[in-house]
Amino acid sequence: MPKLNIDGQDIEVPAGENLVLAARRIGVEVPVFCYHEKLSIAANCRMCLVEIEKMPKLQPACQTVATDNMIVKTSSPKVIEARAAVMEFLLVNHPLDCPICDKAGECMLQDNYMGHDGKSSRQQDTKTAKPRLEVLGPLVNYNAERCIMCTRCVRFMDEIPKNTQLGVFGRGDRNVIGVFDGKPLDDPYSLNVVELCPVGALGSLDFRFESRVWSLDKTNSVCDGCSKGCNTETHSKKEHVYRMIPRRNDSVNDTWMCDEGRLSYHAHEEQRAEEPLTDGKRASDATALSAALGVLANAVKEKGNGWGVFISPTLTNEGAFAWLSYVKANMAQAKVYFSGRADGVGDQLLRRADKNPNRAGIKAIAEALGIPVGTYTDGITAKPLRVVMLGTETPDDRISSIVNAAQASLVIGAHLTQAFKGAKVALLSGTVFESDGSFVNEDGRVQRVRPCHGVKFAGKSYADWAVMLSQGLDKAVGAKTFAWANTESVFADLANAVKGFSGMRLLGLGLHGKALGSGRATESPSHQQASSPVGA
Amino acid sequence: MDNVMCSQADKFLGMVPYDWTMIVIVPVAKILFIIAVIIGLYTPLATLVERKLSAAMQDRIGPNRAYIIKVGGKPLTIFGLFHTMADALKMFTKEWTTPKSADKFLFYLAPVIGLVPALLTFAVIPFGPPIQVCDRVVPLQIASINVGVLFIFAVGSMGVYSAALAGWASNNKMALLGALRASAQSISYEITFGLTLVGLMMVFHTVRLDSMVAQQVDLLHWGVFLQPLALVLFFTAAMAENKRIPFDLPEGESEIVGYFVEYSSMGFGLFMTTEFIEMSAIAFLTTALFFGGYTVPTWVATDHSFAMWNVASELWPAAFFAIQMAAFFFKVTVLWLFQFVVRWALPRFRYDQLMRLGWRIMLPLSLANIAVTAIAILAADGDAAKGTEYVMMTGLVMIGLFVLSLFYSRKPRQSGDSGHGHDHGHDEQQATVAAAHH
Amino acid sequence: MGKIIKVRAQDAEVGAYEKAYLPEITKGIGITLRHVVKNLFGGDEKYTRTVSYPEEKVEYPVRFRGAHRLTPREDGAPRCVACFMCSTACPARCINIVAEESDDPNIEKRPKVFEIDELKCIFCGMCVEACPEDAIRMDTGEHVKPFTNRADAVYGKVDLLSMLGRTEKNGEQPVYRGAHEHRARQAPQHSPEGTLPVQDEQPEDAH
Repeated sequence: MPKLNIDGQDIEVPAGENLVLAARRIGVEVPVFCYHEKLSIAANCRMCLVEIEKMPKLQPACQTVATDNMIVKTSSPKVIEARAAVMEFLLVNHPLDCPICDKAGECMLQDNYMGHDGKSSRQQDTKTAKPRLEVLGPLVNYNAERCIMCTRCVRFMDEIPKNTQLGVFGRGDRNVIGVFDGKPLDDPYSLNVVELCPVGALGSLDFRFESRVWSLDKTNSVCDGCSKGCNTETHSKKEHVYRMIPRRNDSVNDTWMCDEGRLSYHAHEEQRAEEPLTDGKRASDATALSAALGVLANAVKEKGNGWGVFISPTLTNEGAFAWLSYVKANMAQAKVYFSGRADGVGDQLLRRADKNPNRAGIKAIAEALGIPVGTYTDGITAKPLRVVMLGTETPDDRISSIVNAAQASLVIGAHLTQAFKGAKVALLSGTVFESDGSFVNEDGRVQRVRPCHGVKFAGKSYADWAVMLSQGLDKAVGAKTFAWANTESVFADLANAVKGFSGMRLLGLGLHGKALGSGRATESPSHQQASSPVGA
Repeated sequence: MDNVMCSQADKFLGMVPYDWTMIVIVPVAKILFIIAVIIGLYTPLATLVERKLSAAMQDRIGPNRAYIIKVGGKPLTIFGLFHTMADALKMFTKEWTTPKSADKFLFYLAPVIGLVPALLTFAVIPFGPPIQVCDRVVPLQIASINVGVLFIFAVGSMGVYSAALAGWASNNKMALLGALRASAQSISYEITFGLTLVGLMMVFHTVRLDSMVAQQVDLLHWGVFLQPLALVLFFTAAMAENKRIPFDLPEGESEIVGYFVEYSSMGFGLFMTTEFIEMSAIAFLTTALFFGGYTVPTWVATDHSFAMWNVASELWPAAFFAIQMAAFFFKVTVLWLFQFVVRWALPRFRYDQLMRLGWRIMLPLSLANIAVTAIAILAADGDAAKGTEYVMMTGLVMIGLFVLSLFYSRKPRQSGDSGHGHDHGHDEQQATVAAAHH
Repeated sequence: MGKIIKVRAQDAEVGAYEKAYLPEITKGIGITLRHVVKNLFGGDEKYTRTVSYPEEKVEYPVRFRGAHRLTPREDGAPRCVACFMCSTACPARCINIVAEESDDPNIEKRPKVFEIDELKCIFCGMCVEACPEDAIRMDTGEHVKPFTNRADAVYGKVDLLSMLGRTEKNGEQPVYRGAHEHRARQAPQHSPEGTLPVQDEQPEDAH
């Protein structure tokens, strides 16, 4: 544990830590461009130069390991002058086209210029002309004029997906980042280089010219694209989501995210159902819908066999808990099966073959409630005659056709799928961008999903647990009623009922979530009043 | 021809007893004339003048757009006259809202109580010389009653009930505040209003307005020369009674809106009409009391007997009658316009200033005026001509002393005289300020 | 408890002359009457400066901020590069822009939709200040035309481009000062003597 002095403060840091991180411990931010905590160190931008006593020249903080008795100055006149000089060099050939640059607003070049340079340009000559729009791959474009050659992107491709698709070409002021002949940047993690890029050189073709970044509202949430549950920051404006970018969580996704997950927000706006349906038609008025619901409630009351429940692992824990409690109370004979999205491609890094975000959570809840959840296999398992389908995602059309053929069917979902349109009653729930709740990822980490700022529940949709209460489905059957006021109260009941969740609070999950079973038991009692008892 | 006309008239008048003619027909004709002049001419004109004249004073143009017909392709606007008509139309057609918790009866009664006394004032004011219709002398005064000026005081003080009742009946805090202010102000200034005329009564030995006017045929016997101080006090007090700027605290639209805040439509219109009628009343009264009424200066008409116009006589007396009527309404109009000028020239008083002016300046001055007038009359010892001269002299001396005392009683403070030092002789006020500590 | 603070009543410099009301009132009425007489009969010496608007019009000052317009490039396309600076600067949030890829690789970005809601606009001129391309100006000297429909108050790209500025109306060639011009000016700037331009702007020490 080396002890050193940074800007007059003595600190002790773990062995091997560099000076950027060491300075961060005392609240001093050393400006950087090429340095990234999760990548190897290149020390080529020279922005992080600091003065170290007994060293003749300024040293790059990112590459210098903290050692005993070091005396570091991060803001001496020499350092300040050096930083300004570095900034001036970086800006010599920078086109300063911030007005049309999508990075403007979150650009490190802008931030560091304001923080450490602030002078007018002395550049008299014409700036070097380079290609402005080079499409590197299906999702990434490259503007060579803006590039400061920090090589973050190159290092990322080499080190994280270990797929060397980018390289530095040319020398001097003619060098550019590029792809190799005939090999586009098509790695499934290619969009990470866009956030990595400290300037606007690498851009996302998906987000290109869509919006300026300062006008976007940012929400910390979780990707629902697969069972990995990468932490995300969702950027939305008014009622639209514009992009999803990864949020650092070292227990889950470090600072990365796959392209598939980033683009998954498109699917949520497509085929969005806006109104409840009865027999595939718009429920023109409240009476038509309540009549259909009445028929359904009578079918539930018969308690006959033949009920099948398809639960999609895209439901939040709260939704799954509410509906499984309902099934347990009212349809004890029902068989419960998983539906949900079909398996896809997975890999060792972040992508998982199971494209559903909450299978682990639903399994834990079903186990605690004593409901066996199986997998429906056509031909082997008996076809249910009456169906409740939670979540519209299906692996294939077989489940949809079962729903469409059933005598009584209730579908809860957000999208106009075949099952939704063919159901006797189809009610609306919100998408992951509209709902509050929690997911459990494949490693058993409970993580909070937050509704985006400004993105309201489309049409007449509700959170998946609240659909039941909104239509009074529990009261219509009458065996057991629920009185949750908000998502927290559902989660509080859930925490009481399911062992893995005990001691957790929805609002206590924080930015990085909590592992199943890690909740402290002392935290739970305060939220019990808000909830009604749930059958054991 | 004259005889024919008279005999025709006699024939017509002969059908009714003579007394009935003088008691009913002639007064009604005079009332109709006065109402026509006041309500038909001065009041509508007041709304126009209030807008156009104030515009001229404030370097604006004023209303000039409304028109009904176009003449030669250009709209006929006549100095914005149609705005006045539109105003009247608006007053009549707007919704009359009544507050839910108002005292309905008093709420409707209050504007009427204001209007009636204002109109009654004109009953005793002579607006022209007596005329002779055939063999009957008809004074151009609706009621020549013995109490004369006192009737005006009696009726005029009724006006305060209107404001007080309106404020009370509205059941609105602001209206009540306005009513309180109106009551206090009216009572304060009514005293000065009355006392200023005592001097005039002493000089003219009468309270009858027609005989007061008759005594002012000589220019130097006009009230303005006999009682100059009284004129200033009277006119000020009268304007304060009328609650117009600078005495419009009961309205004070920037602070409390006033006792008629809850009135809309013609309810408010009646208050406004009352105000304009009272303006005319003040002008009529001041003309009669201080500016010789319908008389023209004696060098125009050396022979007083000329003043009587017989309808059946020659042309000259008719012309002289016309001149007298014109003189009367000229004086009235000048005084009437003067009130508008005052209104747009002066800012509103603060309430303490208003009360100080009323009680500490105007009331003592009016009492002093009575005392000095009485002394002058006593000194004249019954000689009427001498008495008039004495009174006139004392009046001028009083004005002179008043003005001189204003100039020399206390010099304006010179702030630069004693370096940075303050004038220690001046009042120093102490205020205890309790600084609140928690 | 509270402290006792001595407050000296500071009267205005009012003497008995002013306190007597009458002379000052007379003076005030005199001023009022002077205005009346001059305004009614004064002819050219009128104090009134009112203009009967639709019939008479005053000439607006050159810097009057009128209705907005988009300035065109030489080919007639808007100079705007859809950078959103104006809509970001706009305190009334009345500018709606949707950007798209330009056909010209040197321009890169251009507005697909550029709308100004003149009902929301407060004519503060921030958008003009913010524009890096001199693409939006308020130099038309015109008012927003009357409309009977809210949708008519939203000026689109075509409406904004169709308006002319003062210079164009006077038949002169407009001078634009945007980033393009800046870049063009920047290129050959070596003065023969090699003096820095900054030195030319040194203030003289005359006094």
